[in-house]
Amino acid sequence: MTAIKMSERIQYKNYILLKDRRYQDTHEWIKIIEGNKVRVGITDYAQKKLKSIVYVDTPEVGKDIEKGELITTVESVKAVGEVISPVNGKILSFNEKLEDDPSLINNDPYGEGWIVEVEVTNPSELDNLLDVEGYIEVIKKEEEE
Amino acid sequence: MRKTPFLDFHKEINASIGEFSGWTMPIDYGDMLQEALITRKSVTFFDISHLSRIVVSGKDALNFLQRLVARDIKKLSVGKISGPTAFLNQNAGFKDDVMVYRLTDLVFLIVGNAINHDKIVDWLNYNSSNYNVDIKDITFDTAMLALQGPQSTEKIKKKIGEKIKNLSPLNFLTNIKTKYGEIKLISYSGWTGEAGYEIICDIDVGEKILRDLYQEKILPAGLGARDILRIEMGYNLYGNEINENINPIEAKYWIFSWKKEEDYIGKKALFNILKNGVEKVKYGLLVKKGSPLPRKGMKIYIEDKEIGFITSGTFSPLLKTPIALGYINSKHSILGLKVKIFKGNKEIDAKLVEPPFIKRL
Repeated sequence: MTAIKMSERIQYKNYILLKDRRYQDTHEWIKIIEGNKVRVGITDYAQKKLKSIVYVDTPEVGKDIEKGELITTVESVKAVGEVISPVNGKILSFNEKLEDDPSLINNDPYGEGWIVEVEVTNPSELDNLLDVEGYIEVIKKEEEE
Repeated sequence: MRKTPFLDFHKEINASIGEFSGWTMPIDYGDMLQEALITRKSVTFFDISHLSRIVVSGKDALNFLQRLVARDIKKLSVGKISGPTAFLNQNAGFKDDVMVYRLTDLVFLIVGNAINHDKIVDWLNYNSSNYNVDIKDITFDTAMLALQGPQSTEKIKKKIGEKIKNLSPLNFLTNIKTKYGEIKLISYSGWTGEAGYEIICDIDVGEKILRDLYQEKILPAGLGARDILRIEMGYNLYGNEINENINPIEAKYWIFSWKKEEDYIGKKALFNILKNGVEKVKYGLLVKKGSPLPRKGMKIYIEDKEIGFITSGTFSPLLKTPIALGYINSKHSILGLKVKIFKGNKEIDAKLVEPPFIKRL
């Protein structure tokens, strides 16, 4: 077990980002739990854009997925968001708490609101993903549009 | 793009601004589900300045409107709003659904949908040539606000005074002196299924009211919450449940007076439809808990047979389940029927119900 470090919080505008994980430009975060096991969720920016989340589709646990493939969809009253896999691997589990309470994603997107755990084929893939600064650039660009 | 005169105020209080019916309006203030719930449980205020407000006056005002709307308004008393009525086309399709207010014997106010504003101004002018009437569009010179929820009477009394207390549903008062300035009209009405009031006033007066309500810790609700609340009540939204090709019988929307003697546009077609029956009828769909949301345009099936389509879908924060409105082919018009809504390759289980989904008023 690795010791749990307090993750450093960064705020850009109204949006929280955490330094302990990586990001994808389609608004997913990914964090290593241990070894090859990672958690994937959507960012604070993404949940603030979607707003009140009322449904998370249950993904197929055990399924092999490729980077860029759709893991599941997240729905609010006004929009449907896609959760795209940031890595190659296999879906190990789905956060079943979301079946009863999808608003966990709104209330705690980086913690209780995680969506799936994935076994990553090659953990070094994470190095190619965005860090906090890189992801802030993505938000900046979208906010300009 | 048209915009609410209070856009700066909404931005100040962190509204999410969006487009509705060609207007830039507040859609929510962070959480539309919560805003809908608070409206049901206590009270919220809405900016509904996008609604069209047209004053029809003159010697022939009554006869003119009798010719254009499907409800009998000659017995409508001064100080009262007709129930929902509509301008129909020659085929009895909806041009717009509206409320008619009788301000004086010969002065009426029509409140309608933002999306139909230009069409209805044209329609009124087009039909007015043989009538001595004056048609005045006051939409852009006035504001319209709503205070809705079980605590709205208590709040409005505190703000505007005791004279409000005897106002009953679909009644209104005009030219009320208040600390904000003169309120042109205040009515007991709304579109939420709750007790509530709607105010029409000058823009500067409206701004003072909004700021005062907000300072009093009454929470704002946006058009997102308004949509959830109206779907919970089964109310029709123009462009979703009703349009030029849908008639009041299919929509089960009783906007006409059965015994109205005078002829009006669409009357003949309407009574023909009554005689011949309809191909489809509107229903509510109560969706199984934990399902994805049904959305406008999705098809409704029994086994592999398509029997209808969705016109509006949302999530009811009160029932904690998705709900929808839609049309079902008449042959399958059976209350309680279990159906499936197709969403891509997914099936959503639902049951045909008669709205409202929640019991109110």
